[in-house]
Amino acid sequence: MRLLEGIRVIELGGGIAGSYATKMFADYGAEVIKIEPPEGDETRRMAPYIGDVEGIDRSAVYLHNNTGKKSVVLDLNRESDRGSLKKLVATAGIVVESFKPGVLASWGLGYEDLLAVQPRLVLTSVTAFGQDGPYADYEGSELIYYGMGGPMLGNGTADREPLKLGGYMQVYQTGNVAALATLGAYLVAEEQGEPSHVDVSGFEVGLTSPDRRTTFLVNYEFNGESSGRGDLLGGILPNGAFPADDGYVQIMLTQAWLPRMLATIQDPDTTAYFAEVAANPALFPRIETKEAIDAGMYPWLLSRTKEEAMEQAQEHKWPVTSINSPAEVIHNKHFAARGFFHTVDYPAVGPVTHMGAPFHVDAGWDIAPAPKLGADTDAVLGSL
Amino acid sequence: MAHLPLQGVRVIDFTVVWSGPSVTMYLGDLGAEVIRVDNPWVFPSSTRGLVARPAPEMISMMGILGSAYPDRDPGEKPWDRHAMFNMHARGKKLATLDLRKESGRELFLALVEKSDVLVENNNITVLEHLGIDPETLHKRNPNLVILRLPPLGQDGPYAGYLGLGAHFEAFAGVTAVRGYADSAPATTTSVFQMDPAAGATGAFAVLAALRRRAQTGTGEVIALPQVENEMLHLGEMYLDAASTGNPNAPMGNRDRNYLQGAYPAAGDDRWVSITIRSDADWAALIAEMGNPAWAADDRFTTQAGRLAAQDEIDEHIQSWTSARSREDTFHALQARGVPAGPLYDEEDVFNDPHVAARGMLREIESAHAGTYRYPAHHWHWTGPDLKWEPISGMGLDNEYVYKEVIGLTDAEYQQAIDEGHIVEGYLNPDGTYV
Repeated sequence: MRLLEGIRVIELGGGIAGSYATKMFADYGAEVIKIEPPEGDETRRMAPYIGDVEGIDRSAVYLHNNTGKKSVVLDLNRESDRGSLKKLVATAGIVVESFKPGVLASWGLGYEDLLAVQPRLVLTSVTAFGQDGPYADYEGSELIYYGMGGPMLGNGTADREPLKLGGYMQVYQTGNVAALATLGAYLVAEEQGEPSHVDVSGFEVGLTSPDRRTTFLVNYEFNGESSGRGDLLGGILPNGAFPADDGYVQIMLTQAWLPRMLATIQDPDTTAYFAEVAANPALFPRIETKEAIDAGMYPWLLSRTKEEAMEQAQEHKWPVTSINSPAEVIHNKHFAARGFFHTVDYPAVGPVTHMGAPFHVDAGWDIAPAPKLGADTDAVLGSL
Repeated sequence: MAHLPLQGVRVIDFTVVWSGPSVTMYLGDLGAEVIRVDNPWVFPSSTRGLVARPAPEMISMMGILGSAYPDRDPGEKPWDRHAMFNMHARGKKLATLDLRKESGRELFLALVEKSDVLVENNNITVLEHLGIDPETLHKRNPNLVILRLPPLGQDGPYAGYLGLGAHFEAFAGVTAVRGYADSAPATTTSVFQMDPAAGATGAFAVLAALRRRAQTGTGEVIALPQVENEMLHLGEMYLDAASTGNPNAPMGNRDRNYLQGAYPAAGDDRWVSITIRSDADWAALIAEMGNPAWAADDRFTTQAGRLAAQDEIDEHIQSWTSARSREDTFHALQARGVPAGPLYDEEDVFNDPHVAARGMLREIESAHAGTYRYPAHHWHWTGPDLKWEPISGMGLDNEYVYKEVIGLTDAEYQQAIDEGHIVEGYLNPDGTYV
């Protein structure tokens, strides 16, 4: 049996975080019924689109986040559709919703209302700032979660604006945490019959899990030290992106890894410099140390492709990797050998390259196309 | 009264750095008894500090992570005082064991017999080298759920490559899509999102496997390729790249769908971010700005038109935000339903009223680091209280683990001490404390 077989999940309110949370259930065998408004989930109208052609069934955001789900159109502003939803909830174990706090209750579909039809229900609410507190009604976005919750102020260079991560990584992480919390609550419901309302907030996921935020918050509490922008850049030992002949490589050098770097680049002057430092460690914290590294490392890097630099450094156990764009990664031999990318055929769109499993178990994961808007409305409502 | 879903589940934590420890932290929060096993003869960097015992003059040189001790004082047991350790160690039982010795391997296997889950995120061959590969573990305990978190997967041409999260996410495309639109990648700091992403997924995987174990009666091996898990968090970019060849070059703080940016606010290094998702958000922003004449431009009536003119619009927004405090802009825009928020440093987080009202900072006592506030559980629920217990110190739970869990006699325990398994700190090769 598939890993999460036998669980029926209903998703309401769409968006990336809620959709990603239920995708984690769908791809591992749960039955996920996505309730969409008549105009479709908001992510159906988000770029990029497959082939760069707009269309309600072509958004890469939608397709990626809704594999293996059923799509049922309900207009929750209508009494009769709310009735249908209640009947559906009575058959489900989990509801994941992404409306603002209070919206479901205003429709007569709040936690208590739903418990009346399914007393062992797990209701997971995914919002910007949570179900209560002074900002409960406030709106969020990737930029808000990472800027206010996460460590954005420390990212980028000191003379410029702080930098977010690419895409919607913080929103996805919120969905990822929501999936975990939901499954935890579901185990309680399944084994002990106890329902639960789970409250996941993008801002709080930003505070507790991205990047280095948690460590830096604890460090601040320990000694009052704040992280400054670009703090992790520069210093004596190289740390970050460095140029090779055809692009960049990611380098980090610790004192423990110095011998591996020296063995890799085989530069007599750099080696001689560090022999001196080994004999007299007080020489280490000087600008000359950085200069000695740079004088050996840059020519070595620039005379190699990023792939060659990575492979040769790794032979000496020096952690160096090539920096690749998603377009390069699609064709990278490592992911090709692992079969990470999967082609899924969509009759109306053509073949779409999807991504593989976040974790592997026997008889665990599978991928099926994301649904066309309302593809399962008749079948699902007819079964009630 | 319901109990936590993992009550009665025992987890062996054989992890380093961040991803593995954060999986077991989640499992502990959910009620599992987590037993962390440290090898006192091998200091894993970036797990309990950058080095076991930093010399005083090294503290400031190693930057913010090098000094992350209470009062910047490494104390007698630096490995129990570092922020990197304390942030994920709540409630864990801490035992020591030298797995490189045959007697250590036997003790480990005895612990495996008494456990339900093993989590490890070492290099892909470490379990095999230590003679505790999954097959061996399952011979001793067929019910064991084994979670491995190899950064690039257990196979593939680069599977054994070494590095921290930043290396692998750079390799996999995550770093290239982050950065200023107009400058080279060398000008930005590294990305470290692979580990936290793996933490939540890893715990999800263990819960799912335990649920299936309850039905089938057998354990299994889960492999979580950390970087692939993280790439899923940028999914649409890979779908796009495969479909159109678009390299997905960095856009700074901009977005393909939203008009957004981090704008300067009044004060020193003060910033406020604003996201305009729709025509309604735009109308609200413009109203808050006092309906300025420039905004009446026909080009700005659609989101596509606004995105095409973002350079121009940003100058107007920026001159407006620069003259106001970030809090004014934050609350005024949010009152009109527009996503806006100040960029918070650590002090700001500790002073925020919403953080306080939601109880997002909670005290814990740590055996050797004192009592401080930590970021709280990652979610709230009406279910049984998630576990929140004091932080132990290295080796402090040896007696519990060896005698009560494994069941060693006093004589056997003494033998384990004599063989160098049981200590409360890191050792030099000659057996003295570092």
